[in-house]
Amino acid sequence: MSASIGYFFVTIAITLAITFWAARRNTGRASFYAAEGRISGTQNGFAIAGDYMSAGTILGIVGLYTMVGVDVSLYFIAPLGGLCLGLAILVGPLRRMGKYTLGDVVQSRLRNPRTRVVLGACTITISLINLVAQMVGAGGLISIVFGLEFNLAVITVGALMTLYVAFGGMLAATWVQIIKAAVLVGAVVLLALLCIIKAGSLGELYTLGDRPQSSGRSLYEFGALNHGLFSSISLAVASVAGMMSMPHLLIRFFTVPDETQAKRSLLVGTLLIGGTMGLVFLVVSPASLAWVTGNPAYQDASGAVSGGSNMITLHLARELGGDVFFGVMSAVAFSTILAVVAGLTVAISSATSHDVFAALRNADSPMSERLEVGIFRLAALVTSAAAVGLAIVFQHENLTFLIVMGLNVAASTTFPLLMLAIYWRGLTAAGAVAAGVVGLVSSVGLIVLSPAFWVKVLGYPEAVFPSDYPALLCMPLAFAAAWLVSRLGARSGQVAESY
Amino acid sequence: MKRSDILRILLVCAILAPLVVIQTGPGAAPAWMNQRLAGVPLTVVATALWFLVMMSLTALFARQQTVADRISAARIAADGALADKKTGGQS
Repeated sequence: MSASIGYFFVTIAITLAITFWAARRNTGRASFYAAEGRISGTQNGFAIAGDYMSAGTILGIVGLYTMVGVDVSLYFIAPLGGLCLGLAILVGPLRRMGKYTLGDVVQSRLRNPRTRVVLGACTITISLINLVAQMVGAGGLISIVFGLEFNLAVITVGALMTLYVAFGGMLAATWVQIIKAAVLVGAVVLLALLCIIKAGSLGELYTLGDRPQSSGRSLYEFGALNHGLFSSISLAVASVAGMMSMPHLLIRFFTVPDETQAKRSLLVGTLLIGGTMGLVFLVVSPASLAWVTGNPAYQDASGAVSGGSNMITLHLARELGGDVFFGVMSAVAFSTILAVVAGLTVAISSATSHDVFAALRNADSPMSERLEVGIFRLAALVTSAAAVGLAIVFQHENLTFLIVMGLNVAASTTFPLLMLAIYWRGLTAAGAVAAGVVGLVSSVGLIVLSPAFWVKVLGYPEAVFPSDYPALLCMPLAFAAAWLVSRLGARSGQVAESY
Repeated sequence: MKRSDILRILLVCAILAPLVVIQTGPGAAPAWMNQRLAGVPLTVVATALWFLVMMSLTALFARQQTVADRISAARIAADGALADKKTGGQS
């Protein structure tokens, strides 16, 4: 335990040192929003991998695997499809059209402040959902290592992330991500090696982990989630389209000097993500079945895994490498969470100050750089407070579900907005606003009415909407709203804005 | 959006489609997937292949884009040189 606490303090000291270094270099909005575009493609690739490989990757998804088995593969592979398509059709135009935020991309095409406000609101909602997921992971992790109350743990993380973002901005967030990604990849490789060494071979590992389930089915068989056709397709759509349009990942492409470096960064990021997640899926997850689930040493009085399913990876580290490796993995998981919350808070703060606040102000008097940075810092503080409150409400939710919720909203809002702004000449500002509002209201509304929220969180006996994944319905609705409103506007005399 | 972009979208969807279908419920996956290869379930082998295909596809798309960008840059440079030649270097 004392070793773990030591690693935690080392992690905090390193990240604060980076923040201090970045704070001295930050000169204005270009530094706070986009690290002045000085990050190289390879460095940004590591930062993208760091942004994507969140608490959900190494904590939540292993926990989910121990419940539903190989069905979790869709959560791994579909987002890779999203990154792949993002490289092919989105990154180039995005880098050409944007400067600091996604609002810039739509603004460069439509030149209307209302579209900025809508896209800013979508960015804030998506990033806040993700932020809550990370905070839930952080709270559980700190509770288990320090024995702190969950509430106190998330308040500590909230305070740290406010410091990182308010003083270090995008530059600090990027370097924290780069270092964390490198350490995370190394830790996962080491964990996987230890698993195979302990089992003797990969085949033996799968045999050890093949424990009989109450349903009589093996976790190595597909179909355990029993989603049905709608939810399966919708989950895939949310994962692919949502991954292509996650604001905290997309604003990373504004930190590199040009389009070529942006594409290179996505390639590097995808290879790192695919390789690491492949190891988590193929080795770490079955090892958790073999040595953690069902092991009395890691069960609480009720027979459930101690600390909840999100903590299974850390128990596995203790099983394989004792307290020292447990401490290292806990510190890696903690740094992962700190890095991702910093990235998400940058996305929210920049959308608030650069898109929403700037657009709501009188356009005739442009905002001074000092005021904009001040709003950015204030937004970081408010975001932290909101995330802490929401994390306390959602503390018992699985991290992966929360992250997929964010993907559903992204697929229904930022995805249609960006695709239409880039590829459809007929889009009008009114059409873009309609798409954003319809996508946001329908996706958030249906998530609230879904079994995961309506039944599990609010306690009602039956859900109003039968699926946890509404993207298949909401995304076409958003596209249809944009098309209809743009067409009606064109008929009534409004012409599409200049392309 | 170019035709090649639409083909890329269709290719990724076609690769993901079987994974989506076999997860719709128990029995949706073919029976042979429940066998093992050197102790490793074929479901896991298949998933590993999906990983590899998706990562290779990303590398392929990146390579194609690099080549396309180079051709585009060369064309722009050639057009510029041609314009210079026509205007006697005054463009």
